[in-house]
Amino acid sequence: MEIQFIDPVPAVLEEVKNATGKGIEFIAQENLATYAAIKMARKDMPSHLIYYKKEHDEIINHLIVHECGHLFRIFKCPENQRLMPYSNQQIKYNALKTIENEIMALTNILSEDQIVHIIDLWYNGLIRQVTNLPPDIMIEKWIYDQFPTLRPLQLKSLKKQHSESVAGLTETVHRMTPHTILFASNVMNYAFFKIIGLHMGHNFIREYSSTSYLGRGKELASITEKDYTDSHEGDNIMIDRWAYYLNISDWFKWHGFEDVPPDYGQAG
Amino acid sequence: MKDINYALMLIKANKLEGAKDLLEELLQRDPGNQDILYNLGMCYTELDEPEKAVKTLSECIRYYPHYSNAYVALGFAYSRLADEEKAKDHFLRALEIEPSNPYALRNLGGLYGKEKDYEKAIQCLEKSFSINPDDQQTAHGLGYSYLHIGKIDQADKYFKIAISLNESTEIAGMAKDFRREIAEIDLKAKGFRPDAMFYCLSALQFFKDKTTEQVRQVAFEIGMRGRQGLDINNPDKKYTLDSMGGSFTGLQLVSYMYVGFKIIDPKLNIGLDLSEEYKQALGLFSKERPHGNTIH
Repeated sequence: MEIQFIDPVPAVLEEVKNATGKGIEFIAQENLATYAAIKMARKDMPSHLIYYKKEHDEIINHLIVHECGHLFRIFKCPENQRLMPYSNQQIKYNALKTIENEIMALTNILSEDQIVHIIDLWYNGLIRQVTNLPPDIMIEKWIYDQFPTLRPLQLKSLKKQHSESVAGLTETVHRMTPHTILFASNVMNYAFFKIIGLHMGHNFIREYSSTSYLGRGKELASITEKDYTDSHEGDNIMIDRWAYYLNISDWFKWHGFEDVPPDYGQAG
Repeated sequence: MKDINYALMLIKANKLEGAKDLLEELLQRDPGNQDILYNLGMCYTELDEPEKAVKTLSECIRYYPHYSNAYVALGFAYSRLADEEKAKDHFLRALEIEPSNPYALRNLGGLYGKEKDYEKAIQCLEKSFSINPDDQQTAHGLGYSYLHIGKIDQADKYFKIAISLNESTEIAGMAKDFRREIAEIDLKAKGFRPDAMFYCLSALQFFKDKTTEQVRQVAFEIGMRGRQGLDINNPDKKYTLDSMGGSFTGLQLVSYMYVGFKIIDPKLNIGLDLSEEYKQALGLFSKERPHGNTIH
């Protein structure tokens, strides 16, 4: 299904070209973990790549502008000062080793095969959250402030994200997820939705009101509101602050924007 | 608002050009800031601009005359300029201010090592290592110094520690090479090794019907294992291989590797001398064969 762009998306796409010197190629993909994902163009890539789910609705427009927000932030930073988070097998192993006991405790309810299978989902999901949610806050604020016509779609899109996030509050997820991972994930979701909700005038945090994530979530939101510098550099400092606050500082590392594997630019 | 913390993130990610640019920018706004001056000086040294490093770190010391790490960094910049005297003076000054500064001790140890004064080097490095036991460079320096005064066991111990601290670094690679040298010293210290000769003989028998590719697989696998360290003087310690069934002692594997590489390319320098043992084994091997056709 072709994407039907609505205003202001075409103008934002044009601005991407001006700001980064490269356009965006859109690629429909069946098995995408998120609704849309971006591969920012490195030096040897002709264009940025945005992957989107084949089956989508109009909120794709909000998601595209959101991904463009990431592009604007990073390309505003001098090239030799751009940093990207990364992980590898060794970093993952070391991280999971710190919660070995929590993982082993799950063998009472899950088979070892099941645990091995979902361990990647837990780890990758948490890294994605901690390295994305801080800049996502600034991007959503920017979208809300700069593109009033997109607000209804933005709300719809965030409600969808919210409904997936509150699944992390259910008893089933609680029983089947290592405490460190679930706690960090819910605290981050709380902080994200509290800040965004306040900005947009929508209460996203009702479901968290009687949970154990409230106190830490509020504190993380307060740190974020107080200390955020609105730039790529500020994003990365805040990502590190969140990771430190959640005791997962060693779960990922940083490298230069261009330090990607040689096959990075290949679509797929 | 630019932030020193971001410069530190860039340094940690080894993006030193970016860190330098940012620190220079920050310095213009805050010319006497200790952290900016110190880290900028360090960046200059690492980026091979030691003159700029000396200037910046001297400025740092002018503002903060009791900042011991700045003296260490300045000493390090001088050593990059090959001015060992000034380097030593600054390491010693750092130690006057902070007698247990592990970096001053490590660098001073390194300088003594360069001067071939290994006793003094060891003294400094041991003290540094007791304060900072996770420092790979210090562990390697200790291994290197002990090796030069002939304390092989101690040298091997520290090379082993250096490797275990982070196997992916260049230092770990050098430590592995030194461990191989040590293994050879150990091996030859006992003179001709009849046990190695018999292992060479069984290797010749084992490889007799194998293709070159199969021989190569075994030899290379042992070679890779050797990079992790094989204990050739402990017959109780056994190793297994993917390319060859059974369990083997370190000496046995080294002998198989030696023979394997000699079969692949007799001129190859294996970095381990079992030539006498191999020669004797070859003699026995040719006599053993029922239809011996060795050319004499």
